[in-house]
Amino acid sequence: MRTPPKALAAAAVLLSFAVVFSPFLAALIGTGWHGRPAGSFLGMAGPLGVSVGSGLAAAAVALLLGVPFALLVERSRAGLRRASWTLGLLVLMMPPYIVSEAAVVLLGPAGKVSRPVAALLGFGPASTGPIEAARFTVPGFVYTWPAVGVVMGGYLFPVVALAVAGASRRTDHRVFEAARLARGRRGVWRIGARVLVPPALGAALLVFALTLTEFAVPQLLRVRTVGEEVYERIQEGDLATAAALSLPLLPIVVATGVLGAFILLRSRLASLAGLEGEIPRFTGRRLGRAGHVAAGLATLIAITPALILPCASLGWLAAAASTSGSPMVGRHKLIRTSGVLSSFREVWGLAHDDAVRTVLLAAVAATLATACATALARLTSRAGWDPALGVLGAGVAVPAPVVGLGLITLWNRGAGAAVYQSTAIVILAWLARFFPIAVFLARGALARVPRELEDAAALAGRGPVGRFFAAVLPNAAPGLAAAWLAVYVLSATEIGATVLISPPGKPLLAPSVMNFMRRGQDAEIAACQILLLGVIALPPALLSLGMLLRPRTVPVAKGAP
Amino acid sequence: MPPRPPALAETLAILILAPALVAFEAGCSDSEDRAGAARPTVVLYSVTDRETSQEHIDRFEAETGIRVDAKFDTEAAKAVGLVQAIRQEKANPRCDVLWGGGAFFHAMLAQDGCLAPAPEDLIRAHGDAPRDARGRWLGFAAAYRVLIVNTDVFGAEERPNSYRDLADPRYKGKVGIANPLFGGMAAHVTALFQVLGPDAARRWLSDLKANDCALCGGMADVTKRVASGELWFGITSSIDAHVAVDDGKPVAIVVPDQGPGEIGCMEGFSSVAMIANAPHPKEAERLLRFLMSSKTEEILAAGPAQTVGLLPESVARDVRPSWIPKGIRAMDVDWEEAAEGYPEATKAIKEILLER
Repeated sequence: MRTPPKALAAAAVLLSFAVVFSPFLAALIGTGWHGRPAGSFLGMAGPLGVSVGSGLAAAAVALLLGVPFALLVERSRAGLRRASWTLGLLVLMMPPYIVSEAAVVLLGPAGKVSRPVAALLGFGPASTGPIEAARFTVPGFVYTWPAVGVVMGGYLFPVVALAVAGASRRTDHRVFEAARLARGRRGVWRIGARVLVPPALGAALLVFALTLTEFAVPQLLRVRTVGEEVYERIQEGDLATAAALSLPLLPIVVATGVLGAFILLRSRLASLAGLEGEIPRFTGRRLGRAGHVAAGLATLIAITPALILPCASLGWLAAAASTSGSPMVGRHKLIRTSGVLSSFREVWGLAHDDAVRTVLLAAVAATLATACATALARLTSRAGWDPALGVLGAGVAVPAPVVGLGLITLWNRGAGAAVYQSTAIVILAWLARFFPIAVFLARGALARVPRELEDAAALAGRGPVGRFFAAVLPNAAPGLAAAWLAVYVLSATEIGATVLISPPGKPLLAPSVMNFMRRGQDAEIAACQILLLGVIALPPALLSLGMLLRPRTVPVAKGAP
Repeated sequence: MPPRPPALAETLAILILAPALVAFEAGCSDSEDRAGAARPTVVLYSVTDRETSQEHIDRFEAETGIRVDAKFDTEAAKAVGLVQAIRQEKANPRCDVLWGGGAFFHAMLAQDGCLAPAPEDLIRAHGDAPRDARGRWLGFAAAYRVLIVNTDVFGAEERPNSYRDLADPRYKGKVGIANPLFGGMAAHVTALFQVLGPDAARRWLSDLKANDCALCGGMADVTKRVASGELWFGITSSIDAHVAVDDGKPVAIVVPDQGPGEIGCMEGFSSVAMIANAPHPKEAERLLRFLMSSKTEEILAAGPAQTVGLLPESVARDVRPSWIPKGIRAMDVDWEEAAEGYPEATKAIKEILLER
């Protein structure tokens, strides 16, 4: 099988870098930052340290939740597996801003859960007087940088879970059986760690990078990060310095990735080279009853921070919502004044066009990202340029408003204005933000495909395209679907760049919902959150249903018992 | 070779056709008008909540036949949203009219040369309502910065009533303001620098720091935290405060600093401006005239915004929500000067409150 020309791989890499980094470079250079004094970075050490700490905490939480989830759920019964993955992926559809709000409402100093629990444990108010009781608060964990890590890690754990599950699926489980026979459980742990740690750490790196520049969650949890510095410079009108402030983050992401890869390579056994993708699949032992309980528990624990808590908070709001009695007039007062169901109807009335537009655009962005990521991963892998993809991952650390304002600088001129004034600019923004995630997941999906299958297809006379569709795509489809889903969900809920570049007259759902919730009463907020979740979850849910109901062919895997 | 799954062809067809369909949809909707006629259009950037502004947009479209392509902001984006987009688009403006964001950010945009002056007759008709000296932004529909107080915590007689109470050690750790680096609170602190003078303002910030004042995610966040009992009181806007009162939360609104010799409460107001070199100047002027009317202020006062009329006709008719008392004394702020003092205020906030 011939390798593709290096020029083609180089062009693909360059194009990808242009898509991901051009807004950042436009913001940095196009608005006049030409090596301004180092004074721009004064006072950055503190926020930088907090950002890195939050990012590391988020990565650790995502690993703690995602790895056991993936390993246990992957080995469980089909029904439980599907239900767990559905719940796990629903987490990604919950905007992190809402997750952090739920943490404050339930677990904050005056939390609906924390206050009664503290009182139950004997830490309640000294007297039973109403004022004393009202003044009682619980010393909070939520207003700390580890809490930012818990929220972001809880929200992004499916990225780790998808990566680990992909690695687990493409591993020949006979190796585990052999290790068990040779060295017992310890042997299984050793082999398992070597096979699963690289994808898990790679995904954790993405979680780390995405957390570094998050703005809304640290703001709500009162944690001062680099994101705040960046936003403040933008408010001052100094976009170039704002972009420059994110410069230290990019090498941090790349350095973390390189360090992780170095450590892994040093400890990697030569014989493990054959573990991933090269050997026909053999399904390992299935879980027993205790294992299924453990899988259920792992699911429950994993979805608690970013799905169960927000839903509990949402339910509380809906149940406690009162009907406003104010004598307001106007067509749109109904969002506020008529309870959850009526509010939902009114919000839908205002935002149904936004919802349809968002679903379509996010689907297009996800499709483009997945297709291009697949092509890029395939080309770079065959050209031996995988490290370039690691550098591309640093793009995730570019703050969202820098991407948005950079795109304005880049496209709102000359012939580019036609793009800027169309919805294509939104897709460009989402690609700039999330293409590296698609590349990471697509790379994992392609690694699952045994190379001998492609060789066989080549011997049968198939060309490169034919080989791809006959041998690669069917085997990589689950991983590519995961990449599509991740980009779709992240795009549909993106706000930081979208609010800046979405064309006038064509609002998108997530910013609209955040706008409605800005001064929302309980009923409004509940209705808005239900709408956002429902609309974003509907297409993937329909897709999943279609996949479940479609007629199946059962492939016979070579080496299966 | 594994057999090709039967759904693969359909899936591929969907993946290829979907982008084409969306591109078609986008292309159609990007055109001047679906009907093909050259329907006049105006582009509005609205920092004012959509719940409030959509009604006026609909009225304007119905009355004039001009289509409004509106773009809205979000609380999560702070002032980094539409105001910054206008700055970035300055060389090739897309927006015609900016509504909301307050005088502070409008003054900043005016200083940057992003705003065009309003027509002379509109400026003359504006009366004593706040505006830029050259008419580059016009203010109307006042809202106030008030203290929101938890009524479970404070009896009616012991409620705080001044911005200085935020620094009272009796309330240590139980008071809050929105993060003053951003949005309305940035404008508020900058205004205090002008009204109190830099030394007194810096002292107040030091006292806030010593009192463990919580820096919340926004004024709506302050309101929620006070309503939950986590904070006892804080500074918020009258709009946010009314939302909580209307929702039956245990809170009360106190208009601060109204006693003799006190500075008065800060008056925020909605501001409207036409963008310099905008693509649709005639339509922009019509929208400006439409918004700058007593009718608009009347609807705003009765709707979710709950603002007080400032235009001459509204003042004469006393357009205000019934719960807002008459005769509120407001801080005397020169917003152009305040915008110039913004860097000093920000520096003090970072040094004192954030210890950078």
